[in-house]
Parts: sequence; C-alpha cells; structure tokens
Amino acid sequence: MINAHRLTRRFGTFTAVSHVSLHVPDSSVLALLGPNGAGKTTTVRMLSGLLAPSEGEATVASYDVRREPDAVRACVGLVTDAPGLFEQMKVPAYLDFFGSLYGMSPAARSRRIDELLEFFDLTAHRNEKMAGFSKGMKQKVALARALIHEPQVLFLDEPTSGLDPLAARAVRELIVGLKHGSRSIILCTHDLDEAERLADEVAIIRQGHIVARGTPTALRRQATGETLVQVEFAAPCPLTLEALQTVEGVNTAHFVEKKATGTLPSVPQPQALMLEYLTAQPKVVNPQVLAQLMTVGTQIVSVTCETRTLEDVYAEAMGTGSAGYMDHGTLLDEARVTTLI
Amino acid sequence: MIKDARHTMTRVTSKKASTLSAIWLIARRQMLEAIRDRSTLTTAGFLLVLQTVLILVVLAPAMRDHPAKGMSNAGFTMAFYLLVVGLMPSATAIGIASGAFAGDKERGSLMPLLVTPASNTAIFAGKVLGAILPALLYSVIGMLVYFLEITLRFGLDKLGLLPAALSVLIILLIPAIAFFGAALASVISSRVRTFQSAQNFSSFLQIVLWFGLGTLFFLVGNLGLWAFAVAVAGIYALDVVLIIVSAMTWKREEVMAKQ
Repeated sequence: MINAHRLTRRFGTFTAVSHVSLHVPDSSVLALLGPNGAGKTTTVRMLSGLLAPSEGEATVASYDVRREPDAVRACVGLVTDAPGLFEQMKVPAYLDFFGSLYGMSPAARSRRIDELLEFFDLTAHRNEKMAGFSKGMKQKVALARALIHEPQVLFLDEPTSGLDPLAARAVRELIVGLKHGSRSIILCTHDLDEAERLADEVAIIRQGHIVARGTPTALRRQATGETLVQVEFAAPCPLTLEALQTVEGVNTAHFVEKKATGTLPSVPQPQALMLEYLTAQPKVVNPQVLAQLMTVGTQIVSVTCETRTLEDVYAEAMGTGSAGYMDHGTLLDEARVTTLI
Repeated sequence: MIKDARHTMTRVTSKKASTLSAIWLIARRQMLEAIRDRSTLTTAGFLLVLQTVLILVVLAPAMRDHPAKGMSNAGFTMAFYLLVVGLMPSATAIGIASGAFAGDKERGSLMPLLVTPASNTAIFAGKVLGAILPALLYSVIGMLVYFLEITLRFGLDKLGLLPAALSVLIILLIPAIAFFGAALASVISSRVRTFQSAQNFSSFLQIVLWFGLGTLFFLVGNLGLWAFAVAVAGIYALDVVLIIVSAMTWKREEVMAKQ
C-alpha cells in the first residue's frame, strides 16, 4: 500500500513536485501521466526512498519514506526506461548479486532466480552475457531484478519504452499478473492506451501538481460528458448547418470535407462529406438529427458515436483540450476515406 | 495526515545485507568486471609488455658495471624502474573508479544499486575498494614480472643491489597512489556528468602528482631518504582526507538530485 500526503520536492528555488497526495491500495495500479519534466519521476524517487521530500509525508508498505528510507527500499522494486544492467554479467550472476544485497539466503536466491528465468523466458539465455541481449530482453532482466526480492510495491517508470509490440504486450500482461499478486503498482507512462488498459486509477500530473485523478472511466465522464457524433454521407448533404442547429442539444456542428487520397490527380473523385457535432444527450438528439437529414433525402452511410478517450482528457488537463476532438476527427476521417477507395 | 497503517496491516519484513557484506559484494562484482573488461586488460597487458622491453633496453647497460656495495648506479636505476612498474598499473584505479561512479551514472546502471537497501557507505566503499583491488593486483603482477625478469636476465644476485629502504618506500607508495586515484576519481565523478570527463580530470591531477614524485625521487641523493618517506606519508594523509571528504559528500540523495 502507498499513501502520500502533500508530498513536495524542491531543488533550490525550483519546485519539481508540489503537494501531491496519492493512495494506492494493495492489488491495484495507479498510472501517473504527464509530459517530460512534469514531476512523475521525482514523485517515484521520493516514494522509493531515493529522494527525501522537502515537505509532506508518505508511507510505502507501512514504512515512512523520510524516517525509514532503507526499509522502504527493501520493500520496493523499481524499473526505469533504461534497464541499467551490468552488461558483462550473465543473468543468474546479476540477479544473484542483487538478491544478496537484499539479504536473501543462497537457497532462496537460487530458487527465485530459476523461477524468474523461467517466467521471463530467459532460461535458454542463462549462460550468455547480457551485452548481446535485445532491448526487450534487457528490460525483462530489469523487471526480474526488480522482482528478485518479491517486493510489495513496484514502481514502473515507462517500462515499455522502446520495446517492440510483442515485448511490450508481455510486460503489460506481467503488470496485470503482478497486480493480482497483491502488489501496489505505480506506473509512469506516456502511453495513454497502456494507462487506460492497466490502471485502476489515473493521476495526471502537470508542472508538479496533480491536475486530474480518478478511474479512466470517471475521468472521461468528468471531462465534458459530451459525445462526438459523426454522420457520413454518400453524397454532399443538402441540408444547411443552420437547419441542423435548430435541433436542441446539438453543439459545434460542422461539415468535414473528405480528402480523396490514393488516387490519380487527373481522375475526378466524388467528395464524400461528413457531419460532426457534440451532444450531451445522444439518445435524444441523434434520432432528431437523423430524421431531419432523411427528410431531405440525405444518403447516410454510417453514424458513429465516440465517447471521449483518455487522450482527450489528458490534452484538456495539459491545456490543449479543444484541439483534441478535431485532431482525432481528422485522423479518423482520412482513415475511412482510404478504406472507401 | 496519513493514517499509520502499521497497526492495521502486517508489516512486510524488511531485509538487507549487512554493511560489510554489501561493501564486499559491490567491490567483488566491480573487481571482477574490471578484470574481465577488455580495455583495462589491454592497458595492463600493454604496460607489462612496455616494462619488459624498457627494462631490457634501459637496465642492461646499468647492470654491466656496478660496485658491490652501497647505492650503486644499477641499484638506483632498478629502484626507479620498480617505481615505474609499480605506479603505472596503479593508475588503472582512476579508470575503474571513474567507470564505477561517473560511468555507471552515465549508463544508468547506478540507479538499480541506489534503489537497494545498501547504505551510502556500503555503495561508496564498495566502489572505491572495487577500483583499488584490481589496480593493486596489476601492480603486484607488474613488480613480480619485473623481479622475475631481472632474475632471469641478470641473475638472482642482482636483486640484492636494490636499495632496501627505498624499495620498501616504493612498495608502500603504490597502494597510496591507487587509493589516491580511486578517491580522486570518486570525488570528481560526483561533480561531472561523463566517464570521460572524470577520467580526464583525475588523470591530469594524477600526472601532476607523478611528476612531483619523480622529481623528488631524483633528489633523494641530495635531500636524503627521509624526504621520500615524508612524501609517502603525505600521500597517505591526503588519501585519508580525500576518502573522508568523498565518503561524506557521496550520498544517493545528491546523486539523484543531480540526475
């Protein structure tokens, strides 16, 4: 379990983390999201007993990070984006070295190393120096090192950074497995999809402050509560925007002109059109809009409703919220045109 | 305020190796890495070949004619080369210590060590010891090869020409220089970002010291042996000061704050 109350860290006059409060129960994952320099790593370093807080307090696995940093470090495992291995060593010797520093007995170390090698599919590489390993294999060794002493708390600072998709998936599966093993996990990541899939709770940190916190679902709901509706037409819509905006509950309605891609410039292509609008009540508003469109004989190809993604929430928390929908809409738009052609 | 969870949950047993055990673990790992490291091995091998050739070329003329007793020209020359073959490999302590402090920081391999429950003292002392021991090993090998070479090339009796007191001082000087190199590199490593900078600054200061010692060695005839003895004692005193200063200033907190 991790508890932090108004945790603050200053470096001279610069405040890296300001009044951060967190609670991570056993068997749960908290994702810390934020841009580079937001204070994620400093928060993790304070919670893992590496940096003393300037203010505030925190307990990790019931040990005080300020008064008992050695005990805190004995109970936590930390993985960063850089595996940081002693690459001239072989995996068993490397893990044995760290197991010894954690005060494990030779028998316990031997058993645990065998378990970890098997778990991470590294048994076949036990006699090889780590210098020749791929990034994914090195990251697996770093995870094995962090787990050698069976820590109660894990701090994973961008653990899938630089991994290929399969290796990243394996690490994500491992995180889920570790969570179910009664561990508290803090995951720092830039990958919003990863955070959404793995985290029980998400905290968005910006300039050292937590600006949003909650479950991924709750955050999405809290953001605006509006749904983006996209209506795709087979031919240009004969109805004007003014007419559509008479429907109560339709916000920021606009047409999106599709770009014809992947075709020869000399061949004229039909320009499909799309209508986009936001609404807080799609179940009430959408039937009315569609009825209006069909009245004037509009040929509708598809209707898509999109609730907000964590990316939108993140963009909003970072102060670039309004662009989120539009960018996303354009990307989807291009993808569909390509499919049509 | 945070509720103290100790009364409501089972406290996880916190375990760690004792400080002495952690020092030895860290030193042993680093020593093995240094001994297996190709660049360190290449440097040590090159120095060994260089000393072998130098001794054959330079020492041979001095050996041909010498009085039977006293500090002969041959004995003095042999003592000078003992200083050279002992000191040169001890300089590897700078490279190893720079790699252990600045290099590990640069490669990101310091972080996993810092996150263990090993104390600051254990990590610092382990790294310094891990730099000194291989350097001393190379120095001992260098000196053994030197004595063996003299014995095989010129005869066992020629070893008796070595001035005893001066030779003992030289042998005492070698660990002091290895300590100096490792402590200096550790202090400099905590103030620079790269392995290369740490090694360059430390090597420069080490060369200044060597130059002073070399000059003093050639003045022993005029100043007396006591001057060299004072210099050796002075370097040990400097080592103690450097080690205390660097041990007191090397804290994981500081290392983390600078990253």
